[in-house]
Amino acid sequence: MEVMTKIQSHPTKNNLFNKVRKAFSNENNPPNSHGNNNGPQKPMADNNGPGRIKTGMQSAGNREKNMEKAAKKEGKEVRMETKNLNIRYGTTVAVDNVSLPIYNHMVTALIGPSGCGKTTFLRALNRMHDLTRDAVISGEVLLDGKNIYDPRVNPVTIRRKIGMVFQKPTPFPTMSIYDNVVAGLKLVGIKNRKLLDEVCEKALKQAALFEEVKDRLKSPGGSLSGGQQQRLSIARALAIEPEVILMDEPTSSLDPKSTAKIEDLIVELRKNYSIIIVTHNLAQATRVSDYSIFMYLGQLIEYGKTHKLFNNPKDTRTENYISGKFG
Amino acid sequence: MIKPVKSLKQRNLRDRVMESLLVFSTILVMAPLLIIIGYVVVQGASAINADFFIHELGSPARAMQGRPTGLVHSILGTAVVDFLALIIAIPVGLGAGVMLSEYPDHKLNPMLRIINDTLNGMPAILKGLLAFALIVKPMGTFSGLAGGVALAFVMIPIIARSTESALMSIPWTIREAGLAIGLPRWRVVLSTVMPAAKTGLVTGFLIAFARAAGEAAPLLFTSFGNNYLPNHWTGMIMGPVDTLPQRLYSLAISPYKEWHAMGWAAGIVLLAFVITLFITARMLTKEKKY
Repeated sequence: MEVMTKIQSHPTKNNLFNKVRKAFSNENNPPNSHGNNNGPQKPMADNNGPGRIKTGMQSAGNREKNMEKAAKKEGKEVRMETKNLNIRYGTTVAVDNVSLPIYNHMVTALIGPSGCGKTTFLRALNRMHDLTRDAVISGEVLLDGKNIYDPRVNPVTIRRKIGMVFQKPTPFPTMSIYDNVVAGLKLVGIKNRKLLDEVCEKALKQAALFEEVKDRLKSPGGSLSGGQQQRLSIARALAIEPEVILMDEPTSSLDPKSTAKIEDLIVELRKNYSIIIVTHNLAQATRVSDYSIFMYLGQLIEYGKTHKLFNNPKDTRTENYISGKFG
Repeated sequence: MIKPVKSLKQRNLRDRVMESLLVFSTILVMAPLLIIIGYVVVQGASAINADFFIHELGSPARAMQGRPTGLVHSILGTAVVDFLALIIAIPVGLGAGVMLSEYPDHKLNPMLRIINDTLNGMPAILKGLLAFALIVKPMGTFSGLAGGVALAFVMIPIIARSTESALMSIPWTIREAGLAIGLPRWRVVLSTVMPAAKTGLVTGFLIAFARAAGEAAPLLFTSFGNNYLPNHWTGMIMGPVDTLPQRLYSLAISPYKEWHAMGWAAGIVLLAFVITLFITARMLTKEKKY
């Protein structure tokens, strides 16, 4: 509830929250600015004509430059960047030539219909595809200007800088709550008990879980509720003090109360980390993110400030998606 | 409603016929095991007594003159050779199983899978021959060690396969979670996946152990057999040593009636041992898994 009041007090966000909510209630058919009102399928087909894709790709470079300029004006630095990122599974193209910057201390939301390549894109940002034999990746992913796919770069060091929280809570089943949180430190040989205690407490506090578990740190991680397990997973990711945190639909398996807690947490964590979050919940994207990326069929369709993208989408496909016409 | 061609009565009859066919084949499956257990126990029970577990076999004359004989040397020998095999097979089989399950992207993986399956299907006597060439020939003597190596060849493919399936039963997300906090792959396997799969791993060891414990063929020309207990325990590893399955074979083909009964008794001990192992493995599998 806290989250909602916060949003409603914000004039632009209020507007857009209503819009999203309206989109979900299915009663609407908002006026289509591009004059294409022939139902959900038609405009999509038009947009996918070969000519359309070409212009889309041409404008991608310009858009990127413009965004960088705008970001510089606002004093934001680029933390990560993808350059012509392509990901295929066998012959299926999952991510198609995506180039975009990710800004420091910002929450960036990745939205788009199922199967559009959001998760594939996210997992490429900390080399999670290394274990998938048939995933072929080309292009560059830069962290502070350095390509993380450089053969000289060790994926382990990358993943210590770029943490990840998954769709389902994944506590290590045989470990206690305490051991789960400090696993990333303890298992690489850090034995200083005092340090581990401090890190554990700090991470659990950051993840808003400490008060609930402080008296039973020795009980198994699996004994917690789903929402608590997900916050435990977040605490575990925070304990190694990464710089960027990737979240893959972190609240999709949680109830509204736990979701609200995790959303508050994301807003809070933004002060210290750069966060990229994949979400199917558009209202969530508007609540927590500063920037939004809309992907469709593996392509980057639109990227911009969240309130701009939701209130004033430039692409018909974005508009159709956020107004609930497909997805 | 569309009416079925056959009446309800006919269909019920068919159902019952099918069910009784299934029951019949179930009985056919269970019968051999029950007959074997029953027959072995009936034939060998008379030879099972305290002497059987205290004394060694000695020469045929000993049994014919009615002096106390037993198979303590075979029981101890089996324990030594089988544990030796397990010590050799666990690290190798475990390593192969981890490779099969955790490194599907490794270029050696497909070859390992083929070789492991071939080794599993290879006749056990050939494994004995291999151990003969590797150990007996250079050492110049039959030995418990050679027997252990031969049985390890029996255990390795079984352990590799059971390890693979035990590890695969752990959700892949656990590994990704481990990698995401910057752990190297080997550490993820060792500290998160393997502890979660512990029960499955141990079950695999037990099943491999039980399978190998019943093998006679690979031992015939490796541990060879011995009618006496060696003077020192090291003799069980470095010299020819007796084992139950191979002793059962020797006793069964011997011309002495007294020895035949002892052969059956050896069968009882072997069966009891193997069945205990299988039941333990079964109970472990039933325990809660993650």
